[in-house]
Amino acid sequence: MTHLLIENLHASYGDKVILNNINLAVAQGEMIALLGPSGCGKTTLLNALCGFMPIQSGCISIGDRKISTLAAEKRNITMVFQSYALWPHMTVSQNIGYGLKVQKVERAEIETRVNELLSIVNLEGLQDEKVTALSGGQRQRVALARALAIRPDVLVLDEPLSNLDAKVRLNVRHEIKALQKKLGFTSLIVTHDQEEALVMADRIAVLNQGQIEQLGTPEEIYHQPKTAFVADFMGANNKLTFSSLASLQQQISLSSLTQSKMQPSFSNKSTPYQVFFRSEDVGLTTLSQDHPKLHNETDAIRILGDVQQSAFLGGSYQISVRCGKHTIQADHHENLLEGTPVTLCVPAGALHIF
Amino acid sequence: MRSSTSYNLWLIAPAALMVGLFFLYPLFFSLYSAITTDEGGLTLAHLEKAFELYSNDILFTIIIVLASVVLLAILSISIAALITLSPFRSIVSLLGFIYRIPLFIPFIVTAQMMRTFLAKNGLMNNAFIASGMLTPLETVSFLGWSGIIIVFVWKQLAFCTLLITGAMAALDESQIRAARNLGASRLRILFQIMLPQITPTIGVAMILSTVTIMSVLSVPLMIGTGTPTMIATDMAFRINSYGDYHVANALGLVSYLICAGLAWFYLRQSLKDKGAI
Amino acid sequence: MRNTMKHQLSLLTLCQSNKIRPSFWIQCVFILLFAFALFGPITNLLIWTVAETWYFPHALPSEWGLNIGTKSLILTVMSQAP
Ligand SMILES: Nc1ncnc2c1ncn2[C@@H]1O[C@H](COP(=O)(O)OP(=O)(O)OP(=O)(O)O)[C@@H](O)[C@H]1O
Ligand SMILES: [Mg+2]
Repeated sequence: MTHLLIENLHASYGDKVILNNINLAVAQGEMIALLGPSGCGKTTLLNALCGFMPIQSGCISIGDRKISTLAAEKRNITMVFQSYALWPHMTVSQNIGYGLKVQKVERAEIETRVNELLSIVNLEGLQDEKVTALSGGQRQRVALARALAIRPDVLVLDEPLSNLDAKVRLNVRHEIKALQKKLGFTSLIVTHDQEEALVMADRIAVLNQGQIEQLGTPEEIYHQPKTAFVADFMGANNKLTFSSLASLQQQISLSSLTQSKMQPSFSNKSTPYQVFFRSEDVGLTTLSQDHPKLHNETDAIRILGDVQQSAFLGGSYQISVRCGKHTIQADHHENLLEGTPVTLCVPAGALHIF
Repeated sequence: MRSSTSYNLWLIAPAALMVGLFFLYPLFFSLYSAITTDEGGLTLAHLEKAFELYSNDILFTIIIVLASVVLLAILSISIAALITLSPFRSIVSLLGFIYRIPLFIPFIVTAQMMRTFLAKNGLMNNAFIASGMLTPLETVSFLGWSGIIIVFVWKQLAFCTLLITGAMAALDESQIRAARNLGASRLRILFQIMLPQITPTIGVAMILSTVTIMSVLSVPLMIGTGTPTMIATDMAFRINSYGDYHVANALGLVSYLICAGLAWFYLRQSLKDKGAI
Repeated sequence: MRNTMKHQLSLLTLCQSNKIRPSFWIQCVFILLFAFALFGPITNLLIWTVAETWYFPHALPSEWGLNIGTKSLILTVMSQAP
């Protein structure tokens, strides 16, 4: 059931078009992550949604309520900001209860609501603290409680975790996700950390230059990127470029190019062929190419090269392998000396060809 | 280490000397002169005389200062709020441009033009008569206490608005947005989110304006109607007509105390606000 | 240039679509009053610099010219004051 519907949304700053035909339908209780590089218009989309900037054309509605012409204070969408945006002259409970106070809710009821929210976000006992006395993680939880206090139709979060240090970020990430499951609010979360998006979201929208490049579940986005941009952005850090189909097929045997990978448009493509795959999908061996063991796996491509560099990642080593004019990154369990000849083996299923 | 300290001392010495010579020395000398006789003995006679002769003027000055400061606060906050919060950006950008004009007009010129503008036969009344809103018999002159207040407000408004607009613009935009999407109207945001955070700046703007108002001589001379007048005029009169530096300095001490009183009130208020949270 | 045009247009549509907006008119009146209070005295000064004679209760001077120096301007002003 669609709750929030964005149709043909266009927005610009002056003559610079920032959002170019955004269409998005969000179901009740769903959490959508907006993922994209810096400057692609994620914040702008949230601002347009909240009514902080005028839109050029298009329609935004919640249920059957059309909100795109309403002022920000009437939309019932609340935002959690990257900079927390707490009011330093108020205490924690004044901050959280402010939206209720604006709605002229009775004092006693505000107090019970605030206490309830404080326990939800694990801040019991801090209600009379000044917000300036809190840590970053605590502040962001106050901001979250404040935004949830008025039971908004949609909650939007603009990089809520990027000001927190790595460990706190992991905690708050899970807290937000658990809270969202428990309370069932509809939300949009902006991030440029792909892992965060994968962990938290029900669906991910990858944005590029003001357009939604792909919308899908985390698994779809990760395993079946529809465009080169999405593949690249979702961490397919190896890219091989071929100028023609012939040179592509020379490297990658036809049997590997299963039908699903070969789109009809491929045969008469004018742009170079790009092949993406992740370093974690690359099998690396020091055995020579014609070792019988390597031929067990049929539907895979094999590339020869020698080790250029090796970096310790903690769990494994990332090995840079020079293969002709390309450099390929591969994860490997042990360190290899520079110059070691190796064979790389990438299963066809891990290849994304555009 | 030691040499760097003495080097630093040499570095600040000229500035310190300047401050001491041209600021502290005259200040303390005038305060000293207000409470001593020519022979150097302590006395309150000058202060007594100042109060005896000019208590009306002192009261008048206080009233003018308070009225101007209150009007200044109300007007400059409204203009600054319009500039930062109004949704009608294009008309407001015009306002943001024109309000600064008085900054570039000296007090004496302001007084001069207000004198011909506010008089019973000035341009303002002329315009009202020409537009049929008043008959020549109904016109009133604004010269006098109200004129003095008008001139001070007219001239200082730009300065106060500049400071307050700056402080409002320095607030994090997202704080205001957070309040808006919780449903707060712009008026509510002004009073509950913005003003509590910029009271220090408002206080500073008002105190600086007070000091300016107390020290301007041309306005009470040109706009005022003679008696009562402001302390600055009396000081000039004591010196120019009688060469009486003692009473002039005593009046100076009084105006200094008025400013200090306001500053104290402001400091106490801001401390109280801080303590309450 | 095109930008400002667009901006104004959107302003206009804003006023029409959200039928309310009394605040728009209140703000306009406030700004007009403010502009009057600001430019009134300045205009006054400018007119005086090009006026020869200006009697009450005429809205504008009856004789124009540039002969009057600052000194006589001040004198005229002084003699008019109550
Ligand atoms: N107030 C503004 N005026 C003009 N252009 C702006 C304004 N704010 C943003 N932009 C432009 O809009 C584009 C999109 O900005 P936006 O803030 O939406 O990016 P973002 O996706 O949130 O990036 P980030 O990940 O860095 O936050 C940028 O190219 C930026 O230059
Ligand atoms: Mg952003």
